[in-house]
Amino acid sequence: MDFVANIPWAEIGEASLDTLLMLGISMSFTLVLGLPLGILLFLTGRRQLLEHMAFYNVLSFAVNILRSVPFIILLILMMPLTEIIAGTSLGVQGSIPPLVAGAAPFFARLVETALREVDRGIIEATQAMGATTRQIVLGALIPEALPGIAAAVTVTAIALVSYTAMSGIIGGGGLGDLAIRYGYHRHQNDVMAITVILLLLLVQTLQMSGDKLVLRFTRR
Amino acid sequence: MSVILEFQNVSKHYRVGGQDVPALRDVDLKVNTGEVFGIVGRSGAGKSTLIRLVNALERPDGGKVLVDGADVTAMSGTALRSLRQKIGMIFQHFNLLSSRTVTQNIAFPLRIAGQTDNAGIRRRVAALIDRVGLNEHAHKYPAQLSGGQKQRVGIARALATGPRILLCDEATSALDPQTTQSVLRLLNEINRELELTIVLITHEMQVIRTLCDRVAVLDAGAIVETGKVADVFLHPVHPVSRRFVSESGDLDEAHLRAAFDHVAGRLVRLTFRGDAVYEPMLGKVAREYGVDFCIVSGHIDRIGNTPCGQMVMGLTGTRVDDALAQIRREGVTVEALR
Repeated sequence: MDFVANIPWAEIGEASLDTLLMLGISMSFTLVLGLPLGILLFLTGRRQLLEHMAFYNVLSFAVNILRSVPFIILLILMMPLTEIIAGTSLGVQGSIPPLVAGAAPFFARLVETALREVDRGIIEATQAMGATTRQIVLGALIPEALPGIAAAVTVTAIALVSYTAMSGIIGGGGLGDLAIRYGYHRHQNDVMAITVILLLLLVQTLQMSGDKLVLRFTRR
Repeated sequence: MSVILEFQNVSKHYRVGGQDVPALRDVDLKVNTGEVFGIVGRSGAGKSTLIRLVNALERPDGGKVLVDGADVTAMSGTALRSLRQKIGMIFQHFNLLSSRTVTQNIAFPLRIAGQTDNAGIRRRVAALIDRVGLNEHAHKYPAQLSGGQKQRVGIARALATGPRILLCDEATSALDPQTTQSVLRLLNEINRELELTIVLITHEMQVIRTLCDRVAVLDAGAIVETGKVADVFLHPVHPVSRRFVSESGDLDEAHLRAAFDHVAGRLVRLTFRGDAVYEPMLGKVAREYGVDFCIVSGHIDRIGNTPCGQMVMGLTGTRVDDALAQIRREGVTVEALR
């Protein structure tokens, strides 16, 4: 009984909720920012509908910068900016801007790749029907790339789980924060084990629902 | 007969590895309203580029492409999009949207054209599905269909907006011979029912023979021969056309030449067209002029809707010249081979 009593169940519950909250909010922003960014990358790329290599190169470079900075460094580098955007660099609220800044470029690249997988013939056929670029994107490209985009969402969500854990280091809250405070600083291995199990469950659930979604959208 | 499509002095180059490679050279071509016009050529001859100029999927470097008198090469934006809505296109690999059912695929061009009347779209799509014979497959996805069925969906989709021209880009090249025939039959019916102009490109002479009224032979970006299909088939002038025609036959030229050495007398090729095919003319002439004949090769076929026959024979006897003159009078073309 001592074992169970020593574990801060209430804090674990709260931390789990925080992790889910961070994941949900940052994933939403990532989708809203990353999807258009990915589409823009695709469309302005070589031999694509809105080919514009100068624009593409600048955008691509910006994406690469954000992607090449290790997330833990991004967290610290962004702190001043985070305080402007979110009002604080602490807690759930303060973790959202760096999470989105880390995940959106990553997601955008995956979306770009998914769109490139769409058969050029389908784009050509849609063009031949007299479609506008907007109609091609919304009516043909995105529906055809949906399995790939669903897979991209899954991969990004799982990356975000590990990012949320990292944001614990700078007081971001959530399961990562708990693991560091109890598991690392106080050597409470049982709390560490429980957070790891909870994170594992979360990742597993995300992967399984993601796979299901991909399957649902695949008509090939 | 009015001209619906005209290429005027069209040329196009591609830059490949820093070098200019000509894809089309001074192409002049007229397609009449309601006809089926075929363009035949080997891969790399420029057919693909040529057909894509019609709906401006590609742009020429020089010359004009006129559809109904309007220069496509000068069009952009709304004008180009509304032109494209009046030109249907089908493809070698069908290019159907895998995420949409048969019904949704056929409705897609209607939605793109801005139609919002759902009941109207439903009726139109149902009629098209019925026309191409896919009633049982209306709610299937393309992945559940055979190649021939997919191309039928492609045809229905291309017809949805009531186009004036149908472009066929190697439409049967991915299909087996039997399916090819049934798709060609469908295209033929549609051409007649709707008086729809069809422009097709292919590397198969068989397709030209079955479906087309006129044909242009494209070689290395230039048109080397144009004419009625029967004329080009029976009397190809350019070496490239000859090769296409002989490859589509059962007997190749080399075999035929080898057989000539074993045949005595005058060697001629007779070409029958139309009802002459069914006349018991040869026997009569042979009896009348006391001529013997030995048939080296021969076949009777149909080019479009015209029965045609071609025969190579050796003639012996004293009045061979008179016999050949009589055969000519009967409306048969005679070519002396030896």
